[in-house]
Amino acid sequence: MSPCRTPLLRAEDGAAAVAAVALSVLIAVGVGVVGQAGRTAVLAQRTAAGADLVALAAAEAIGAFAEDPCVRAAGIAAANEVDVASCTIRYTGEGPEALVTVRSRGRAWPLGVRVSSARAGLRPLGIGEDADRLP
Amino acid sequence: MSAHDAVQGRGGGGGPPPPPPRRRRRPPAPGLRGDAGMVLLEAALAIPLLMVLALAGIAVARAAVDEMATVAAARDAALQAARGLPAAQVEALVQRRLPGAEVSVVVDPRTATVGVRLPAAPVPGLRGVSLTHSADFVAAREPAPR
Repeated sequence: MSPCRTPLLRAEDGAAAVAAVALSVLIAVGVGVVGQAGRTAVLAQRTAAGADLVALAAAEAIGAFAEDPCVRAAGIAAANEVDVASCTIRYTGEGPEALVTVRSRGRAWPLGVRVSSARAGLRPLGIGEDADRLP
Repeated sequence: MSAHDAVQGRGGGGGPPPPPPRRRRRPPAPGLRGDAGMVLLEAALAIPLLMVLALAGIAVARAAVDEMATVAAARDAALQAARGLPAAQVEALVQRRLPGAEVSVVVDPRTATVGVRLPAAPVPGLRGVSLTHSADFVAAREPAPR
């Protein structure tokens, strides 16, 4: 008994074209994924940099005793196009430090808004880390 | 009776018209015989498209890497400017990391603003398009050490 074949599948005409179209779609999707991944990574990096700068501004305000550190943080955050989600000033054995969490204003599909945290503190003699990313 | 009338008269006589003479099909040219070469032809059409897509992927990835380098350089430059590094040194710092980048440094009593503009690498086939990676960061100025 011979196998039943539809007319479309009777020959291999166009097989290379079908394969090429499939590969083209695959590569096009790959290019899109690479583009979105890059966009997301750039947004995450901008947000992390903004968090560092905001935390440093808050720490500088702690030392200056001239302004509420979190108000200062909000001002620097706005200048860097991020929003402060939380701002905490705490005192540790090594001195006061500011913990801030910022949200990006932009979005990158599919992860959406990026959030980043940083901390910065005052150390005796001015020696110490600048802004450590929270674990 | 002319010859034309004679032909008309024969046709209207009731008999079936004679079949037209069969034209002999010309044999196909040697290069077009059967399906030979179809895969080669399809591949010849598809490979340029695949190459363009692959180049687009490389260009996109490279743009993302350059953008991230621009952001990192601008962030570090803003921190250095906030610490009191002179603008010329801040610019030199960025130029060393990103040759060809334009740097702007604005320092006021409370903040230091650094902007970095890096012309994007040319994309093959898009000569008229000029893209620029840019990043601007504002840092609070740190008090001068006493």
